[in-house]
Amino acid sequence: MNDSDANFGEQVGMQLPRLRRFARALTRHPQDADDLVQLAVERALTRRQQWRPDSSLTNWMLGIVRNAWIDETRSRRRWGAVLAPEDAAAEVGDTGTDRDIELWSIQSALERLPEEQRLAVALVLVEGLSYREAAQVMDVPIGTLTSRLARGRMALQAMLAEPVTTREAREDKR
Amino acid sequence: MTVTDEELISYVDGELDEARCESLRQEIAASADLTRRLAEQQALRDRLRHAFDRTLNEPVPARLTNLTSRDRVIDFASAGRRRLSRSAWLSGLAMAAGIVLGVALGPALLKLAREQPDILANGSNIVAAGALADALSQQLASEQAAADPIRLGVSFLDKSGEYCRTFVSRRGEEALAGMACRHDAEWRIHALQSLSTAPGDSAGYRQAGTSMPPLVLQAAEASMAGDPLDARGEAESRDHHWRSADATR
Repeated sequence: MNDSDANFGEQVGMQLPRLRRFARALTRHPQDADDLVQLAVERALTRRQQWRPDSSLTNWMLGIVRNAWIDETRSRRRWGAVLAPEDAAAEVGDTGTDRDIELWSIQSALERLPEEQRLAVALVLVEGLSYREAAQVMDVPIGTLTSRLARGRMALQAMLAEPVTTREAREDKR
Repeated sequence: MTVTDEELISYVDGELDEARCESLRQEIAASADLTRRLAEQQALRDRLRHAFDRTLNEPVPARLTNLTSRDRVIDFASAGRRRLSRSAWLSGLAMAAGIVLGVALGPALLKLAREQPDILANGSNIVAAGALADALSQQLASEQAAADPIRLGVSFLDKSGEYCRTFVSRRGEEALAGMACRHDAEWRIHALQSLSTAPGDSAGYRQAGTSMPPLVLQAAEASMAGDPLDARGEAESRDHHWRSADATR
């Protein structure tokens, strides 16, 4: 048995709160988000030799979550298993606090963004990565990252500034 | 000079170079519209920054912390190496005694095990990982397409109250069929059989890809309590993350 394996596991373990936050920005359902983190951690542990110790473990793990999420959304789309909008509305219910409602509004708006814009927004705004780091995690040039980030934010601003009921029309235009 | 959305958000994020910042500040000061856009984007940045803060302070579920605990990681790491050794695999499966009714291992399985990280030896258990674990957790037999690389067969509750599902995972001309049961948030493989078809043999290919081999069906029948789930039961169980009646208490 190898001590460095265990130490690596501990280091990965310390990333869990941030990975969960990132996953929650990508997918609204807490269970789905944790499923995503679980998948990413499993992949990280079996591919630890791909991590370069001179690079950021957090960013490497964020990249694994990103890839797992892309795999997941693609396969879900293929299976046609998408959440019905009314299910989402039912989640908040009557008992939501202001913070719940705020989180729900932001998650719903994020969910309407195209995948790549959502990733850019989640990495830079939620996770606080620099443009350079976010571009590395997404494996795109900085210019591409900046343009996705700008489009995503303009769309979010428009969605979050207007009442919920008028959002449906926007979806069709996208 | 017009200010693009990209420049505006780069400014908000502190990513714009200093020279352009200076000229931008002057343009903002001179334009009510730009001032408004800037304020909107600054407010949006603050909202997104803080909306998810709570997640950081939530207790991390045990199913995640368990993954990175010392023992488990060593299992995982050595599982990665062990995957190459067929004899270790066989003994691991044999030790999982009783529940393994039929195991057929051939060159196809060894190759499959090498090529894809979809099955791991975890201590004395063989568990699904990667795309196979995803499919077991998410895919519905009622919605899948014939071309899907992993196809689910029947889903049912076994005699200990755990959900089990049969599957065929196809890769090229080879396929792996088995039965997996949900236990402690993972899919343990309780029966496994490799199927191999001759290249260009379309009938065999079809069979390997879509029908469940008898050994796996026997394993399923032997462990099943009651009837298999219908499409609705399957979807509901999936939506409840395959938690057994005991675990949800």
